[in-house]
Amino acid sequence: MKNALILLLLSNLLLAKAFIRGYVKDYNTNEPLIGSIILEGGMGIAVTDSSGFFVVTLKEGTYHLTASMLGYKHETKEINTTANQEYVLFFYLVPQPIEIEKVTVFGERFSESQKYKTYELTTVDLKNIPVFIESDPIRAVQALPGVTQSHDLSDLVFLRGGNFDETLITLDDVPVYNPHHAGGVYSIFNTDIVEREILYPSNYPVKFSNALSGVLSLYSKDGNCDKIGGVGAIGLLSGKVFLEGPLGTGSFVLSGRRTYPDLILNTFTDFPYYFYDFNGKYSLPIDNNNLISANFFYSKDIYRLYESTGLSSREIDYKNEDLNWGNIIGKLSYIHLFDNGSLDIAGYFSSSNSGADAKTKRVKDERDNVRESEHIIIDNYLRDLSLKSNLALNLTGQSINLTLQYNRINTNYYWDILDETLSQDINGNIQDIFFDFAPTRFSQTKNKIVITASISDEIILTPSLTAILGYRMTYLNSISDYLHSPYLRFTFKLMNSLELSLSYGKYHQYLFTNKDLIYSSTYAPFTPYFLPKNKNEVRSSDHYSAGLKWFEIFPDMDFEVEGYYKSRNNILSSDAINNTIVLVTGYALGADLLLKKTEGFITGWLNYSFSRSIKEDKYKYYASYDRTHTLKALLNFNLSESWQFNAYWIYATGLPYTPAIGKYLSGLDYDPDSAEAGRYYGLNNFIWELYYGRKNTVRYSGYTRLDIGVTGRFIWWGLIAKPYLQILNVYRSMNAFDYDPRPDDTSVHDGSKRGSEIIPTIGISIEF
Amino acid sequence: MRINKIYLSFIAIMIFTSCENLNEIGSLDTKYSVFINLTVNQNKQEFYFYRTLPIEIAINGYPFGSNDDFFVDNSYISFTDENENIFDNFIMEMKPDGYINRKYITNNSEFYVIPEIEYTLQLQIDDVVIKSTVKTLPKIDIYKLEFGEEKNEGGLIITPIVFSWENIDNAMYYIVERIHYYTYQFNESTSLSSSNNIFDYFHADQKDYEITYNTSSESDSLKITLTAFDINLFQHFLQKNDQVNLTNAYGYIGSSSVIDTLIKLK
Repeated sequence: MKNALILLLLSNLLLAKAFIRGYVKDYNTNEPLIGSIILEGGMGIAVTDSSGFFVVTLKEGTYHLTASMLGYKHETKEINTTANQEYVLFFYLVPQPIEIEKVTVFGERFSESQKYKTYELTTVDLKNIPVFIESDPIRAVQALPGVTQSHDLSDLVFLRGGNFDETLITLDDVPVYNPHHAGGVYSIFNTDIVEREILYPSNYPVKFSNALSGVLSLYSKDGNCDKIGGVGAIGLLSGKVFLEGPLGTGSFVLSGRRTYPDLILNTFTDFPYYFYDFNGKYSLPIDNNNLISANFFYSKDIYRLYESTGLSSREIDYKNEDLNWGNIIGKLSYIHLFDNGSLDIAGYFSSSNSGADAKTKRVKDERDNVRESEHIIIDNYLRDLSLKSNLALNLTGQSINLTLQYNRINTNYYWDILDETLSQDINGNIQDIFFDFAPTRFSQTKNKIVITASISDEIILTPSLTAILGYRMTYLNSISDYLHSPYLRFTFKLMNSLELSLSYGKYHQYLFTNKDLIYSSTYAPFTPYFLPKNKNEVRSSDHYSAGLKWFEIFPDMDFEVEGYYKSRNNILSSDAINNTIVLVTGYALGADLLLKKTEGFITGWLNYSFSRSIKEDKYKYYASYDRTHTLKALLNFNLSESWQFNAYWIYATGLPYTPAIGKYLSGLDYDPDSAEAGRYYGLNNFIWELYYGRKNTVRYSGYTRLDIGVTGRFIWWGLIAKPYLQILNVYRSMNAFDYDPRPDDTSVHDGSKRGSEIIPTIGISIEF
Repeated sequence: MRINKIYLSFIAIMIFTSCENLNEIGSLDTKYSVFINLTVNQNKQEFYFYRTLPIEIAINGYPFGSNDDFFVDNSYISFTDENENIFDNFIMEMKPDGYINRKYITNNSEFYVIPEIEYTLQLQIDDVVIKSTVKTLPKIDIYKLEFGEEKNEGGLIITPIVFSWENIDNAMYYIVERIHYYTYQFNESTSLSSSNNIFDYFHADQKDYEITYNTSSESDSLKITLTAFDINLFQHFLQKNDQVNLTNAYGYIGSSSVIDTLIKLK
């Protein structure tokens, strides 16, 4: 989908006669530069969109248009315009991070972050954040304000008091429903393919839908049109290859990654797990007005169940196959540019699936009857087939976006776990694997249609006041009803360096998980997403926010703060006491503060988030993902041209959990060893249950961690080598992340298990 | 300035919300666990009643046995049959060492459970009254018991025994137990001990069962016990329902029917 990012100054628009459109791209890589500023006479008149595209309208005359971008040397072109004529300009900016301080400040004011509240990370940012063994574009987002995580190992994104499934994650505007490897430890996205990512923490634009909290939008690289290049990298976990270059009149990108510990360790022991993913993209400009592109993404995780150690006398046979899960994404898009806008038509397919037909064992019972003693059958998938069109119009004083989308969503969930053998194998239980209180056998198939239409109008009311009016209508045939989502945002430029914004938006989510007990399980690859059966199951939320941005509050430092309040309806609440799932109301409120330094010896940011996420059923209680205070600091020390040191520190309030305060006997079981006739039970066979207090009234101790890393950059034999050493959890904080009280063990009545140890990582990437 | 007012409002909301006390854990309400099985064909009836334990009390091992609060010993129990006969003469039985098991038992066999009759329970523990009804199962009988031919299986001389019974109404499943009794000698004293080496359950479509015993073993006798269970016990034991046929207590009230036969081998 193409998002018109054009801002036209009112004075220009009133007298506009000639149309100038064009692209701004990276000189070396030919990648489109998103958010580049087009300047005329020192004034910003346009900003490039996600394709690096811009449009401006000017009256007749001679102009010097300048394209500028943070980290690039600006480029100026002279143009003589005649009324009612159109012109095409191409800017190729040369990377030059030191010389653009002033432009950087100016650019922030006119970029995507001016139109909507966003946080943006580029390839450079991703490489400056310490990693957990594997560089991860989703985990990097956890360093931003308003984002919390459940524990050290998790890469789930909890936005502003919302659950993890309330964050929509997209790759090139295609939703990805299972974006995790290893059950939520790593994302499926190889950092090498990511050009940039944009996080909308709340109040996201109407062009997105189906997210109660926010959107994380990743954009992949288009590839270098001029020359073949690439990256080969190896770390402790995986080996990666990235290739890009010209192909025909277009450009391609190919990348692949595979973990390798199984290949090495299987020589010594049984290491049953690996994953791989690969990505391909081809962009073909037909002419200056038309572009076709095709994307493909594939990821797969394989978990080998352990081989049988042999059959006992009563076991007949044993079959052992793999559990697997992954994603398939494909997208074909066509973009047409015309005088004052663009038309983007795309079709995509996004599928997440998990399956197993594995580990069946047949045995003979005492009476020689043959029966299965255990089996695992899983066949889960979610398929989203979509056609989408977006029309962007740049009219006098306003930019209009019209989007129409048709989705066919097919969900199929089937599993049959006999004797919960899967639980034993992966050290979990059924509800961890599928959803809270999931049964051992489950079957559900749905095939539904979703139609979405949206319009947004970005209006420049005065030179210092802009407004965005939006409206989205969604039709769900699963409930045979419409969902209405208005949107409103005002931005006031109080001073040249001070900006105030007010936003309102209504949001719905019609695909959701039934996982709420995140402290015990977080996420599993088999987690199904469900469609609502009626309107009362559709999650809904009203977002209100007010923000302030203060550029250059200190030299080279920007400050921003945004407060928010979100009402939340029909949100999930798992009642661990009664083993039930109910829908409740709630709200979230808080404020995110960010102080960011973009230039100098030290760059990075310091941010603080206050957040309250409350649910209300019979009484009010904290959501299980509520963290009241979160303080984060990310510092990059530019030691030299070759070396950079980075450090990431976080302190956050511990997550709440429901304490067990008592235990009771729920039953007596058989006692086969009883010597007394008629006595079929005994005290050895008491079945204990826990008795819980009020929900989420106790918290773990505060969450804290320090990660550090050092990265190098050297040129060896014409190749650029980038070695890195990073250490996660330097002071071994051992953050608690699980509550697992057991009635027969008083030693854990406080419930806290401890977190991860110090985890070092080394690796190197070679660019050519 | 207007901006300041907006942010002061936000700060006020945050402070107000921060002060909201959502951290009251709640008190440990006393819950009761009640286990009542009215067993047809058996003189001695046993009932178990317990209270909630605080989470801090260990239960691996039996230290909870010394926790008097756990055991209910102040209850009033009464059963009323269809003819309005009331049976409420039950006593607390404690193991000699007092540490492991306390249960209510019938006093002097006054409460002989009659087959196929509805009993109404009224149980009062502390201030809680627990009421329920249960219809007892019919009497069960083993009508045939036959010894088969001795045979050699892997060097062991074994003798099969086949016994059969008629299924009874409302029985959901059966359990067979086989217990060997044998002479046990230690320090020149001789006593009879036992071991249970078959314990099997099956649904009501089965009417006979074959067991074997080692002819050359030291067993003195063999006891076979057949027990039928009603739907309440089925739901509790096999379907793992915590609360069966009770409204304000965990556990169950149900009925079983038992028959045992002792086979002298020597």
